[in-house]
Amino acid sequence: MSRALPAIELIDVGFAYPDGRIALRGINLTVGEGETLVIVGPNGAGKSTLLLALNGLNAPRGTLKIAGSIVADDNLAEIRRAVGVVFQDPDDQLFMPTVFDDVAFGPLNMGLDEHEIRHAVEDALGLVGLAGFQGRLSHHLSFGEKKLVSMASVLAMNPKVLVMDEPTANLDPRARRHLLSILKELPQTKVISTHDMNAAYVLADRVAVIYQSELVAIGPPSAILTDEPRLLEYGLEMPTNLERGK
Amino acid sequence: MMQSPSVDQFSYLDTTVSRLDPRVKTMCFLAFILCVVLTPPDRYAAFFLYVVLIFSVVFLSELPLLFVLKRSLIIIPFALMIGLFNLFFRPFSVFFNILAKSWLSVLALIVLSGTTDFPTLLKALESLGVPKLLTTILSFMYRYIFTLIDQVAKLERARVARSYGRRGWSQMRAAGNILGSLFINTFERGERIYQAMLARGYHGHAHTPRRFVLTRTDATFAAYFTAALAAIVWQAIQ
Repeated sequence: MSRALPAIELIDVGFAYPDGRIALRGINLTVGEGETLVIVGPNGAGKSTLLLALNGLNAPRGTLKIAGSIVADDNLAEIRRAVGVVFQDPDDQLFMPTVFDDVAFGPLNMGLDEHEIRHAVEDALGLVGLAGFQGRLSHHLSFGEKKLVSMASVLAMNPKVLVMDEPTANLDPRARRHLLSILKELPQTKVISTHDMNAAYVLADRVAVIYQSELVAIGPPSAILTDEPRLLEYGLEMPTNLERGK
Repeated sequence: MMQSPSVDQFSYLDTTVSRLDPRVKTMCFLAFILCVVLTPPDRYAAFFLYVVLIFSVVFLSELPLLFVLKRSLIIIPFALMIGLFNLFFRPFSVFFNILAKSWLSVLALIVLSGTTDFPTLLKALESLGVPKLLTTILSFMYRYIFTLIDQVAKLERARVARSYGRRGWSQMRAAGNILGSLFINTFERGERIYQAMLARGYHGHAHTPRRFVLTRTDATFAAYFTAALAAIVWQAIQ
């Protein structure tokens, strides 16, 4: 894993809502290229705010660099091309009537021609194991399928960084395993927020803990996710497969 | 799984009519409606021929006859109300005219929407010059109406589960709150959808690739249909 040019760099990033409530405070963080960083933390800790900031969807204080370039208003198009976000609720992400239109939405905005778009859609659906789903209607898909199509809709833009909010939430065990195996295969730099400690343990190169708007711990899963007293202090828990092994 | 939409529930049928270019269908049926509406009220023969024409298309489309008839009844209450009102001070032909014209127009729309899936229909409308903003709104409506219905069903279930069988006026307050929370949910979902659009590079106008190709069948259908229409109109003017 080359750490020459970090894929993501956050320097003293903070964010406060218009009502003054603080969501993030003094976050310093570097994610290497190809690395998978899993962010854990209780509800309302600021995880989602951080993820949105990576795509320029909110304007935090401090410096945020994607592949070396600082996120600012004038390069948002570039940033959004480099960073793909898969939102938690696939019904928010799949807003076009058909699967094809949805997966093609990003590539179309990128200005690809029709031939390239068809290819991008085909490839992206193939990556998530839904080849041939182009003509299906989004609202007729099962929840697991919707989640996969959401991923495809982002993968079709061929992003360098994949940002996912709670990818395994509400999935049944089979769909969850399928999704995890796909995630493990994808070569992109990944930033994933989750409450699923088992998934965190399986996916992460490093785990970051966000607690009360601050980054309180970061390190390899074998160090962070085995420290039960600290996890409990942060309102988290150990992965169950580790607990059982105790 | 959400319930299936009813607007285009038979669009999966693979028939001569469903394979037609949606632009051709739209134009043909619009022309049909225009002719029907402009036909003088007392040309009973012409109306009979219109019925024959539209039902031959229904036959070609292989849409279940009962479905078409049932669905076409939806217009009757409205037409009947206006028709009955007119019956008081205008001749019978006006009453007949209102009923026949509205029923025939609705039939044409049922065949169009029944044989074309909604997204394709929207693209056809777009390529025929309907403003993008309008088709985008319709497409969001089509995408989210069932999500919304689902949400209403959930909220209603939650209300029933806690209302101990009480019904009627006492529940109005709950109904108001359901409406309110539905509004807020929808508003927030709108915000999240917009973020998801921005995240994928949306910058003000959604593009969709459209590729409709006119085939010989389209030309043949359009030719026969307009010829039949012209014949009926000619017969009516005579």
